[in-house]
Amino acid sequence: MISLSKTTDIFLNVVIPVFLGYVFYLLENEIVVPGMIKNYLPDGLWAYALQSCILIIWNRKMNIIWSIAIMLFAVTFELLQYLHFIKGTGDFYDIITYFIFFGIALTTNKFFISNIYIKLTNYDKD
Amino acid sequence: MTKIKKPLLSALSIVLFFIIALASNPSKKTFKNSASWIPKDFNPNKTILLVEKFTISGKAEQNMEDYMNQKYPYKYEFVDFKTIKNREGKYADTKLYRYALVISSHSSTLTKAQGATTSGGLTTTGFDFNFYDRELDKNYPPTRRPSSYAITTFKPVINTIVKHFE
Repeated sequence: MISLSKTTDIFLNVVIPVFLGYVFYLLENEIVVPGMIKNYLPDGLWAYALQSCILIIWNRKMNIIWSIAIMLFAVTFELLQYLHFIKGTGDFYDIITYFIFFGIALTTNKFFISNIYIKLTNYDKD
Repeated sequence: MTKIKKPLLSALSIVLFFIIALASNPSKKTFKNSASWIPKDFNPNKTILLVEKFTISGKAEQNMEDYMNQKYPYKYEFVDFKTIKNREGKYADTKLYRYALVISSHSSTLTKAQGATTSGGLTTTGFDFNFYDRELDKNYPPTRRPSSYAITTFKPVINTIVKHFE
């Protein structure tokens, strides 16, 4: 069983996905990859990192209220783009992408707790 | 960590990710290779830029028109490719309507690597844009920054043109 520190967890599940998403954003017009990946993977990585961040803050214990809050936040974000209140193009498929990657983060959370993570002593206790 | 800190950190995280999402928006992106595709003689103050309508998708077309309306401070008109080429009616004035921004699409194929066991390549279509000189009937090079979604390339193209003439 592998033990990860909280810092490593943040790096692995928040910093790296955000960084990869940013690299994809920078290179989206430079690299030849299928359009679906090019357009939705950065959004997905962003959603994964956000959900992971919330989980890590709550010591990898599922917090229903905050999980729902970020889902509503994601939907609102796209809606505001669609209505031109903020810059960007509101896209229904972006919302689907967010939910898929929120789901991946929640699913891997169980994996992290049961298989890899385990030194909850690495976390602050309430 | 106290119980007060966690909700605060959660809220701050959401704000941080909101900022990241806004910053990673093609609406701010520009291309650095403008010298290779913006004609030297193009002056948006003296000519009306014709922009080819994106007939494949009405929604994308509307997004492009909305973006031009928001970002492009010079005169422009959206017309179909036939109008750009035919030079008829008011568009026969190739001094005033000298340049057009036209869509160029191309396909790229990821070919099978040597020794790979899969049989086919992966083909993707990218939309790019290039200037067309209506007076000289000359196409300028595309930006070479294609995207599968025309709007994803269109926004940086317009940003780059606007920045070029600031």
